Amino acid sequence: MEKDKVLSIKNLSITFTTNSGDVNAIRGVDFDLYRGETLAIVGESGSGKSVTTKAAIGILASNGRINSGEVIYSFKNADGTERPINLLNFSKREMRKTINGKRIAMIFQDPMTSLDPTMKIGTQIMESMLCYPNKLKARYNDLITSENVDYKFAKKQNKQDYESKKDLIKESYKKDISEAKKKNQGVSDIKNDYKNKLKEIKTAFDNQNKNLDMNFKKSKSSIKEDCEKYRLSLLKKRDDKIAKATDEMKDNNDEEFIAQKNKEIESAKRDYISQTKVTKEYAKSRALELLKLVGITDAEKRINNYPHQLSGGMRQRVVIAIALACSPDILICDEPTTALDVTIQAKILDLIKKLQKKLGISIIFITHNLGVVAKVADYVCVMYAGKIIEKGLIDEIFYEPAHPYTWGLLSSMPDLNTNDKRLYTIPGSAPNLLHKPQGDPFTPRNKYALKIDTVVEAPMFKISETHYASTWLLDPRAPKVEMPKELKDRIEKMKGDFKNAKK
Amino acid sequence: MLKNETAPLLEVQNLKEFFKINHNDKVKAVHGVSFKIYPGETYGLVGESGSGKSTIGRSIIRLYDITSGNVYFDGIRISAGTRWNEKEIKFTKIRTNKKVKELTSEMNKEIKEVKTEHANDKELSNKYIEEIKAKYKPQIEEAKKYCKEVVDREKGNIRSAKYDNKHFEEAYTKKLVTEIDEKYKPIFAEAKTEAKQKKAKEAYSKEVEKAKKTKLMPQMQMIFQDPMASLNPRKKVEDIVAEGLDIHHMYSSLTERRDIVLKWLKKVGLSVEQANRYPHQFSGGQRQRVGITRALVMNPKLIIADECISALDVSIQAQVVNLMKDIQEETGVAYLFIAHDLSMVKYISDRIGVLHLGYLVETGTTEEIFNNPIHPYTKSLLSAIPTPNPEVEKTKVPLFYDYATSNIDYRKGSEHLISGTHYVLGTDEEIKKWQKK
Amino acid sequence: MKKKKDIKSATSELTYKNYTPKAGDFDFLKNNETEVDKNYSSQNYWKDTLTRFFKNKMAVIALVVILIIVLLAIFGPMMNSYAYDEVNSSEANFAPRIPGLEWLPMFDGSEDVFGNKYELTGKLDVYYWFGSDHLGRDIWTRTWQGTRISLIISLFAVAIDMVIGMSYGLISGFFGGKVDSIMSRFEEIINSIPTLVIVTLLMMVLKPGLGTIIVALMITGWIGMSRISRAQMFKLKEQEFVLVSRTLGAGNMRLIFKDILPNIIGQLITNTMFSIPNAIFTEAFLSFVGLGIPAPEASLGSLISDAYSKSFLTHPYQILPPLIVLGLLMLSFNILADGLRDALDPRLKQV
Repeated sequence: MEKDKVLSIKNLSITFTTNSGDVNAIRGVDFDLYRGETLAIVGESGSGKSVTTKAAIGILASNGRINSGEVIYSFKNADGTERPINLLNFSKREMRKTINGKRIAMIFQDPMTSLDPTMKIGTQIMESMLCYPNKLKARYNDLITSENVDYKFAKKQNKQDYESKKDLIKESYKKDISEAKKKNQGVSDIKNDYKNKLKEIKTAFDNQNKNLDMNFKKSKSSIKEDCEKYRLSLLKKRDDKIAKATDEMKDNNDEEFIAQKNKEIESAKRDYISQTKVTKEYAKSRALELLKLVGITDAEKRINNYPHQLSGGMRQRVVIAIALACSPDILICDEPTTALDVTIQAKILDLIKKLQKKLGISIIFITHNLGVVAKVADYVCVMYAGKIIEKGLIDEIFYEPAHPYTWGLLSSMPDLNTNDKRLYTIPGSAPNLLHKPQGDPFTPRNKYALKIDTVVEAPMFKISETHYASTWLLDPRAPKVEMPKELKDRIEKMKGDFKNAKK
Repeated sequence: MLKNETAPLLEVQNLKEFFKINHNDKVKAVHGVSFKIYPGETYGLVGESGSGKSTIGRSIIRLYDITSGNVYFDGIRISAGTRWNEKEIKFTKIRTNKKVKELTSEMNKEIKEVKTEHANDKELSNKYIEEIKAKYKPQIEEAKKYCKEVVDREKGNIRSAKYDNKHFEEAYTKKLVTEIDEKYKPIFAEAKTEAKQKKAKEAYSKEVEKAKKTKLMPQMQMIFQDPMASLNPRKKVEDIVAEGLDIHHMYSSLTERRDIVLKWLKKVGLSVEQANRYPHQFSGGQRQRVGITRALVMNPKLIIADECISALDVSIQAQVVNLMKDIQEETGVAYLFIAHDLSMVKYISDRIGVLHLGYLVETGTTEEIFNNPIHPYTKSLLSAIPTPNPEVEKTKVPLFYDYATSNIDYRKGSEHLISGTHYVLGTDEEIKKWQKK
Repeated sequence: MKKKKDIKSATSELTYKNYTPKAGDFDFLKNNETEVDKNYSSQNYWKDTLTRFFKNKMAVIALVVILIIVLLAIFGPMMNSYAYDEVNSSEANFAPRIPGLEWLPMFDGSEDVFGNKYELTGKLDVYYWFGSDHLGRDIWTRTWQGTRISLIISLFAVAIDMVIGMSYGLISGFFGGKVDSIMSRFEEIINSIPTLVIVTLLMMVLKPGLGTIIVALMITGWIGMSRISRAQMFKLKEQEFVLVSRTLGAGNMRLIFKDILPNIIGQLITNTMFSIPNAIFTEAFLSFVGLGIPAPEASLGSLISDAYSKSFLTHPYQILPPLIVLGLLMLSFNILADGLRDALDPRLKQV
């Protein structure tokens, strides 16, 4: 069964302008997220894990600039159709109306500062639901946004094509003129030719623009019609029901019957309202439902509590509830359990897994703790200095790691079972990307560095269909290097543990 | 380690710490914690937020006044709480008053009886009254005398506690001087010639002077949790590290100061240029190393590490822990390692104490606790730690332990010895139940 | 839409695609001692502040204006031959006349109503650059003399305020509890008495003069500073680095003045800069009202007051120099203080 891709990031590159210079924080990131799967991004602080996802949902800091790359999201429309569009082409307004919260949600590290201390938690959960209460308008926005984004992007492309063609023509014109001058030939022909060519491409550009405009107008009006039709159909349904009930009431005078019919009329009215507006009652009932879903006992009482009356674990649960309020299909978790105690961390991770199974959402989990990754992830990307240096299925990364950095990360995790008196560490710390590194930025800390690492970075070598690593050690010309013995022993032991547990 | 023979470096006896929020409410942070730390070893204090571990660390280093209990450092009592003594006085007085009242009322009752019986014969009734009084008076006197004894004793305890709280440095100096005296007695006895006598006297007075200058508290240092907040953002690294030296005037010239600072910075892995930089230019791991250097520069005997690795990435945590172990090997310093992550604690500690809600629920050596955890809280902590083994992690069901619903009352429990030095807090049936599992 | 140039053009970057490995490239890198913990130096806090400050053009202009005025206040009165109290009744109420700039209608010595008094009295080689007042004294000299006095008064008053207020606030904030309560009550009592009442009483009790005015301004000016330093102290008192110094055995005074003060000095400098124009204005107001420097001493306020009461309707030019100088001083100090505040408190967050 082909899993369908929900989010696909290709060749993303981001630069930040700071007082001390330009920092190329993300230098080419690719990964895919499939439906119902959990992808973990692992790395040290400063490797760029959060920045990648922030760019995807449009909350990048104002001094950040996206140089290149695409973030392709599979946009499900209100009428059920699905199409891939590039999230980087969305304007902030469009992001806000259609993507943030509604399709992609994010939870952050510190639960205390993620919640507003002056609002009750019930209000905070209902806030995002009540943001766009007019459902019909939201439906229209949804449908029009993808069209709008494509239209704008196509126009931009058109203009860029036109500009580049114009430049080419200008260049060739200049060359021709200078040649002609050297040969003392007549320039009038060349000038006419030039003018004609310019006219040609301008007309082509204008025509293309007109086409795009027309198409967009057409689709816009068809969408408007469609929405109007939808609204009328809802109205019709309601009116029909009311008419039917009133008819039936005419014939029969039984009190009970009349009461029942009145109830039917009321419910028809309510149905219409609930399909066209988000009411406060609906929001409240959904908030209660969400609180129960995330495991908060006594939801009816807790919904009126303030954040400072809850413990750290409960606050993080409320944050998760807020994120799930509008039923997104991607949830991005940025180190959600780093600030919590170990036992509470275990509970929250359990909760996230349960929710994923129940709701079928895809999760991107950012962390620096490999133990947490082992618990929740299906697919792992290891990031270092703004690039993904190894990615693969979780079993491949933990039992068959290929990059020396991954070996280092796995070895430096303390093991409850061995009796080593000394922990293995990766010497030094992550590089400062203010100064563009020559070659592989991991070289100074790499015990297995090759000379070529100081010159040029390695490409992604394929180890299996799902496992890739970017290290020159995988090149056929490089010396054969095995992972350190302690790590190998540890992995063997872990596999053994697993077999024992299975028995 | 000859634990039975060497004296403990730090001894905490029945430490209780209560904080008053307003005149009605108290927060009871620590309920009677006792442990010992021997020179050169690491004691790991493990607990989650709210268990009181930071409070214990800060009380030991005298940032807070302790409510009750004693803290001995190098044999000298540095901190004592008086709440228990005051309570004892109060209750003894109440009890004595009650008893005296009882006795007096009984006495009066009997006197009344006698009076009514022998209403006419005054001489006889008086004789009986005297007898009754003679019977009861000594009892009353005894009760009052006992009360006075207890009150005096406790008042004496309170006075000595308050005195120790303020004058422990003098007590320490006295101890050092006595040691020097002991050491020099045989030398003085041997020195027969004038010259030798003079030399011995010089050496003696030099050592006594040095002893008078040594203070006790700087030999206990602390490393804090947040590497950024614990460094003054306006000071250079060199000044931050030398702060302790500046306060206690432990150098004679600026070059000496700089030399000491650079020596320790090199040991910790930072370079000479970095001594002139500001904290915001360093990464988290490096800042924590600056904090460690600041503690080491004072040549301490005990370092209290208050969650000093929790704010760092896992790979950097390993670096810092290795560094601390190296320093311990080289200088013989003891650590009180406060943490909430049992996996890191295992690497560095010789003995461990598990803290929950202010009670020490399980203590023992590292092997004892990891091989044979008894208390359900310890078991839940161990099972909650994620290991980098995906197959096991995905199917593992962590043990959950909730004090409120577990029917366990820490106040009723007492310490039970399981084996060696492994103690668990609980009632007899609970211990039996947990050991069966 | 402009075509954005790439940060680096694709052809100049060396990637594995356009690099052919040489022999020996796949050998291990021996002596991998490339600096592992490199830190790149950046500037000191004060250098950073200065860089930020100089980027703010308005603040730099304000600083230059202040410097010019200060220089003129020092050297102005010496620039021409008149003394500030040289009374010359025959040359009273002359309009401004500057040699060399007489082609400008402002500076040729003539007035609308009274004509050109220089020509009328035949004194063609006499120049009063800003004119002369009703007693024949040179306004140029008096203006700069007055500025000198005003600046001295305000700088002294503010300096003393800063020292007293800062220490008061720091101590009261640090110790908290009873000490803080008592000190705050005292401060509130002083604050509730209107400044003008205190100053007036002082003026009546003490001899009017320079020192008296400084004392008067000082009496209530320290309160604002002490409030700010107290608030900042509360914020920083419980920070971890203060706790660290405590465990190292630092005494209270050391904690206050060596550990916490450097962290709040920025705020204090800003507040000081803001209170200078306040002091200048208060002094001017007092002089205007008649409670200030006695004649023949000049201060900006008394100059304005004289010009206003004696000759505003007849010779309006007399009020302009001191008024403009006062306005420029206050505006420049305010802008400077704003610029300093922005430079000392960086708000830009960098990645």
